[in-house]
Amino acid sequence: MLIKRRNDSERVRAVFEAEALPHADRLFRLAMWLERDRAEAEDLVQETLMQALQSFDRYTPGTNCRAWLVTILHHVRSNRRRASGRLALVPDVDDRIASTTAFVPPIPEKLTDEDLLAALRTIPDQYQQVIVLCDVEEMTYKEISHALDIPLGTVMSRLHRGRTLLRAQLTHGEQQRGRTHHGMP
Amino acid sequence: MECRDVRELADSFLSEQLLVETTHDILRHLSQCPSCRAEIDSRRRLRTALRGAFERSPELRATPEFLASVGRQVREHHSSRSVGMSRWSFRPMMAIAASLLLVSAVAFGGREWLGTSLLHAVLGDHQNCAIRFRLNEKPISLEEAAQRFEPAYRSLVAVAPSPARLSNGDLTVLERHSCVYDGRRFAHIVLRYRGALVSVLVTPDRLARVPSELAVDGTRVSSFRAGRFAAFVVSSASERETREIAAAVAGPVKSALAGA
Repeated sequence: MLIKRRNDSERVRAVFEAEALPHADRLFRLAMWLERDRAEAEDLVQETLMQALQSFDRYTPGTNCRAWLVTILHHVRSNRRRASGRLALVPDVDDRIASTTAFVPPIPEKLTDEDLLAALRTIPDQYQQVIVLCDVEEMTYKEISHALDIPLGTVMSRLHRGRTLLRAQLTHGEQQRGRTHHGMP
Repeated sequence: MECRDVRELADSFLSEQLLVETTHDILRHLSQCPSCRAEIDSRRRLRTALRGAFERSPELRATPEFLASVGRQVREHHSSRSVGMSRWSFRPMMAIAASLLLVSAVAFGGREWLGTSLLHAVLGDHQNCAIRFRLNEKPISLEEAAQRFEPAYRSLVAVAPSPARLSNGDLTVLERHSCVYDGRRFAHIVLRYRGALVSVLVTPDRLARVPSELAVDGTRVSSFRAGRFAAFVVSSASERETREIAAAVAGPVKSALAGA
């Protein structure tokens, strides 16, 4: 009985190591982006992977393992922030932003990695999150909705508004650089 | 489908979230509309650039040490569960550790379990770095390790035991550096106590459950936490002396790493 349990457990660990562990580096990038602190990010990824291992029986083989891990990461992060009192309920600014970003500016031709990441940092967190999950993590709207525990429609509206804000920010950044380049204040 | 509809659905189109029919409608429109084609290309370029920026950013990259430690923790966590024992049950876990490490291990006062591979790395580093000087990778200065791997190592550059005079002899700092054993990086302070070498090994590991004391084949390990770090004092001195050395080191190490 003990040997059978051990063999089963060995198998689970082997599958976990093959399916989940290869995503540790990408999970870390996401955690680091969210936390902006290496120690916090490492902690978050460790806890996420430990929880994932404990509940690996709930993972459906053949589905998107990274999306499953990202969902756990967001739950762990929410719980930790709640526990430390850092989970602030931000007012939903979607309506206000929607009314101020009707114009969709063109995307500048030349963009450096630094320009892009700096511009993304300037937009509100809830928009950053969905953009990163969709464009960087390549998660589907449904997976993002599940991971962040928000309705599908909210995912779509946040993506739309977030991208508009990002483009506005990139254009603004380009204009600023142009001014500096031409010696203007 | 008109340009306005295409712009509205452009992101969903790029994310392949649309129904097949809608996707075909958009493709049909794009084949006839250079302006919308340019817009879609531009959005696709932005997404690719964003993904690339994330992948290339050095600030967002995990260290190899961290990735290795995550793998180790998974294996340790697994071995602690696979035999159906409590993770908090120290004595039974040491029996497993003994079979894995082929060493005899006796707990004296410890209550929590130290992962076997962490214990292996701690004992291995003491033996192979402090005593035999035969590590695979050359140790580097704490300053260099702080720059490359863990900024908090810089705080340990000036740490000294307090008091330096214990009941049976002096505690002298011989060397400080950062070294790697079995994939785990430590800040290593080598001390001399009554002619024998003592290692103080510090490694970032918030999840490691450290026993306060244990003995493996005559080598004693006394451990303590310093924030997100686990610290170990390894010596061949007696139980009481090892405890005394750990007490002399714990305060300065903890205050050096406070807030790190």
